[in-house]
Amino acid sequence: MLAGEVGSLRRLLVVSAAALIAAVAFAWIAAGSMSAYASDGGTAKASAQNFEESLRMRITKKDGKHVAAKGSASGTIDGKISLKLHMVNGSKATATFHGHNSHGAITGTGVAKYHVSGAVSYYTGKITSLEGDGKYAHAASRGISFSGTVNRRTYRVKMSLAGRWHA
Amino acid sequence: MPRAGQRLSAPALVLSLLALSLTPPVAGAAPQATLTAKLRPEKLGAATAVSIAFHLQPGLGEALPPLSNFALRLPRGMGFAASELGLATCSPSRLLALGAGGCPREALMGNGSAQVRVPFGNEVVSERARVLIFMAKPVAEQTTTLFYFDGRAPVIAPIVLQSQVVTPEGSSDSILETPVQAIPTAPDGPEATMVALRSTIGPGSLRYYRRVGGRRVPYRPEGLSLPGRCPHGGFRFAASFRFVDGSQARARTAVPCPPGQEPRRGGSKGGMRR
Repeated sequence: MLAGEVGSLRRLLVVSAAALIAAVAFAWIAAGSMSAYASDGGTAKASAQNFEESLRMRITKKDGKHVAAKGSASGTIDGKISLKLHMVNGSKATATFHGHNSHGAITGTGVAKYHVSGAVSYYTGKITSLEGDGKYAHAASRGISFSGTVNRRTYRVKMSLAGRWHA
Repeated sequence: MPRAGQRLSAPALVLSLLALSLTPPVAGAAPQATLTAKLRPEKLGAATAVSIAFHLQPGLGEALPPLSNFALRLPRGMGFAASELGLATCSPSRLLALGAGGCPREALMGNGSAQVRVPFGNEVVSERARVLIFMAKPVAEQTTTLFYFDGRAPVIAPIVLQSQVVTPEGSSDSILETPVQAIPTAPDGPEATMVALRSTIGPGSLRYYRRVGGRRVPYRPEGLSLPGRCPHGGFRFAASFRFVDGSQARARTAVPCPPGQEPRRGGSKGGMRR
């Protein structure tokens, strides 16, 4: 009789412990999911969308190792755009795009390789960070690349951005 | 001699460095190289002309072997992209077929001279050749320039060296990498050896033309861009040389910061005061 009670007690303890572990594990996973959702600005459930942008600009300033250009952007977002290129060396540059319209503003930074062929410099790179405000407060790059040209004779700058983003 | 861990006093350090720099080359030693550089004007954040010269000397008791490659490291942040140099391109085949006059005026980026030694029997003749630097179409997506050596027959024939702007992985340096082909002399004769090169990349004597109101107006193109801040130790140039016999030489130099533009030590506003 006593041995039977001990056996029942053991089974009860094992079942209770398993239930407790399962509950803790569930809570842990749920907390992790919520944390990931929160750290992603609440966009984790949103699916990435196509992002395509065409920029047409003119050089407004050139000094030292910087080139600045301003113009217009069309595509996923229409608006005014400015670009700053910082030449790291003879073949690498960093690019900062800043666009805005009546709905908000968006800023992207990226790294690019470039080479010069006569009057035209060719740039190809990737956006490493994307952020915005207003309607674009949750903007995040999910793989956006860019390529374009800077004409040193005409001062015209053309850039194309393409990839995926979270709006 | 101080033991390991002990610090040399400043005078002792200076004397040690001086002794090292004055050590004569030993027999059988590798060739020696010297490098000089100038920036004109040297105004931070502005366009400039870069003058570079190197001179090669054989190791004591040795003959200078022909050069097979030279690589010139430019100061950080210096490149062609923000300049107006080389707005057109020329090709090696065009240069060799038509000479410098066969290239667009706006492909010319600079000029200089080279000194080569040409063996003639038991004698060695020193010959100077005009050098012109042109923008070329990129090779393997790398900015490429051409060094055209306007050699005069029968001593040396014109040659074109192709120089590419490369950046080693993980580095932010720009290096002009230039393989040097054999410099032919007389038929079946030994090749000539380049011993010195002096070149200026920048506006200097360059004149480009632009259309203004239907007229061609000459202008001086902007040169290479000088970074807006002078780095500690000045604008540093370095060069490495490889020779056909496998020997190597290195040289470095720095253009001091313009007066009053030296970076402040430790970021303190007052700098060093006594």
